[in-house]
Amino acid sequence: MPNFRSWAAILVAALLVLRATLSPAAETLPAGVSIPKDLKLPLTVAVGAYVPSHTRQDRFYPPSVGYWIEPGKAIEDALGAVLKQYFTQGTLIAADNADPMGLLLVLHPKWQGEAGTIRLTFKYQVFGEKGAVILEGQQVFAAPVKAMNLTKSFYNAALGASQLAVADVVTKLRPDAGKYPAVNKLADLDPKLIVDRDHPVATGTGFFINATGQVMTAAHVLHDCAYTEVKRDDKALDSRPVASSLLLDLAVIDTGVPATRFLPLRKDAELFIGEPVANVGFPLQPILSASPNLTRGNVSSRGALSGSMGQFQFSAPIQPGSSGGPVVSDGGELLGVTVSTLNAASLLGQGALPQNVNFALDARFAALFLRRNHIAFTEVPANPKGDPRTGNEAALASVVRLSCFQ
Amino acid sequence: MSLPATLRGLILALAVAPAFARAAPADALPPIQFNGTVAGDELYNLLKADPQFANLSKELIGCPIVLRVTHSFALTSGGKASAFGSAIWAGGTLGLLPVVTNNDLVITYDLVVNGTVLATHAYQRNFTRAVNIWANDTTYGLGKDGLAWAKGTVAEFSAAVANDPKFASLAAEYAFYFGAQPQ
Repeated sequence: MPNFRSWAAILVAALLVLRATLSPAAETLPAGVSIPKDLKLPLTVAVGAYVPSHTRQDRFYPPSVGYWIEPGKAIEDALGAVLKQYFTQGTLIAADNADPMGLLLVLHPKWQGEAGTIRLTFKYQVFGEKGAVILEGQQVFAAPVKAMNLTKSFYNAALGASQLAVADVVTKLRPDAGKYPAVNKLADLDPKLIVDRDHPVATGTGFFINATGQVMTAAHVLHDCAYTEVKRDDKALDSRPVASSLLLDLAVIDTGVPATRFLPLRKDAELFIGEPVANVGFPLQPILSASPNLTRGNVSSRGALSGSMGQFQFSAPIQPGSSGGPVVSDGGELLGVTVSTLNAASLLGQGALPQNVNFALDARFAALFLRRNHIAFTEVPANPKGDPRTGNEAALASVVRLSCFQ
Repeated sequence: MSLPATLRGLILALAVAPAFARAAPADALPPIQFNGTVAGDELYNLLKADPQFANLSKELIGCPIVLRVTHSFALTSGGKASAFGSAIWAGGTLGLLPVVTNNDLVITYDLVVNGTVLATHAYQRNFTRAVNIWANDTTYGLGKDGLAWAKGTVAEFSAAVANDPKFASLAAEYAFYFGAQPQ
C-alpha cells in the first residue's frame, strides 16, 4: 500500500501535469510583456484582422492520433479571443471584406517545430487611412509540445504570438475611435499590399480564351486567391475573377489587356482516341525556369476515373503547376483543360506504378460553362491537315503563368 | 379471353416493379463519394437509407463531389483533470480501475467539391467515459453512448441538407452540365 509520501508525490505529479495542460487565458500576457497601465481595455476602436485563408484552413489527420490536428483553427480561436479582449470591435476578416474599420491588421503566420516546441511567427502590418502602413513588425512565440493534445499546443503558440502582436500594436499606436475612425475597408485596398508576394500559395497555367484578354484555367489554381498574377513572357498583368465552377474545376479571369493569340475550341469537341495532343504549362515553379513546358502525347480514353464527370484521359506528361493548361490538337483546337493526374504514390503500395495517366476537362463542358456565363469564345471545325508544329505553336502562343497569392 | 382489370394491374405492377425499385428518387442529390474516418459502415448505411443520398457510394474514386465525415475530440477543462487523475489511478492499479475521460465529441460533415469544402455541418456533444484499458473497444473509441449519438447525427445532417441552399445549388449545376441523375 502506498505511504503518505507516495500519495503526496502522485498528487503533486497530477497537479503539475494538469497545470501544464491548461491553457493560459487571452488576457494573460506572456512573461515579460506588458501594456501601458493607463490603457483601459477593451479599446474603443474597430479592428479587422486579415490572416491568409490557407493558414486558417490548415489542418492534418495523423492516422496514429486518430483525429484532426487543426493549426488553422488554433490561430482563428486564439487571435479571435485576443481581438475580443483588446478591442470593442475586433474580428477576423476575409480579403474581400467591405466592413469599415479603424485599423486593418494584416498577419502572415509561419509555423515551425523544433526542440520540443511549436513556434509561431507572426509578421504583421497595420494599415490606416488610404492604405498607409502605420506600423509593421514581427512577433514569435514558442509553446511546449503536448503529445496528448497537439491541437492545444498549436493554440498556446498562437495565443502567445497573437498577444505579443496585439500588445505591440496597442502600445505603439494607443488606438481609439477618435484617432482611428471606422472608415477603412480591406476590400478597397490594393490586394498586392496585403498578400505575401514572396510566397505564392499556388502556381498554375492558364490560356487566353478570347481576344479581350480573358484567361481560362482550372478553378483549383485560383482557390481563395486574394491576388492572382498573370505573367505572359516577363510581363505581369493584374486580373479579376469573372466566373468559376468548382464542379467542373474551371474558371475564367480577366486581364483587361487584349490578347493577340487565343485558343479556339474544337466545334462539338469530338475526340478521336489516339489522336496526338500537345500540353503546355508552367510546372514545378520555381524549381523549373519560368518558360513554358510543352509535352506531347495522345488522347488515351474518352473516359477518366470511375465516377468522374466530363473528363477524358491523355498521356502527355504533366507535373504540379500544369493544372489549367490547354490540351491542344495538331490542328490548334482546344480539346480540354488539364485538371488532374492519377496519384502514383497511392497506387505504388498496391504494386502498380501508373504512367502518364492524366485527365482533362472535355472542351464540350468548357463551352457550356462559357455560354452559361456569357463569355465570348470561338469554335472551329476539326482541322484534319494539322501537324505538330501547328498545335504546338497555337498552344505556346496562348499560355500564361498564374500565381495565386494570399 | 380477358383478365379482370385488377389482376391485369397486379401483373403489370409486378412486371415493372424491379425497374423502379432501383431508381433514385427525383430529389436525390448527384452521385457523391463517401469518405469517413469513424464508424464508416454504420454512418454510410444510415445515409444511404435517406432518399437524398440514394446516389452515395464508396466506390466512386473519381467523383468530383465527396461527403467527408470526420470526428475530433475537444478536451474540456474538467475532462483534463479527470483524465489525468484517473489515468494515474488506472496506472497505479495496473488497469483494474478505468480511465475516466470527458471530451466534447465533434462529428463534422464536409461537402467537398474537387477538393474545396463547399458546406460544413458539425455536431458536438460532451461525453464522460470510463474506459477499461484492457477491454476490447468496438465503438471506434467513441464509447457506446458516443457511437449511438454519432449515428443520430445522420438524421440531423439529413434534415440540414434538405434546407441547405448550397446542396440545392450544386444539384442544379450538376443537372445543367450532366443532365438527370442516374436511374
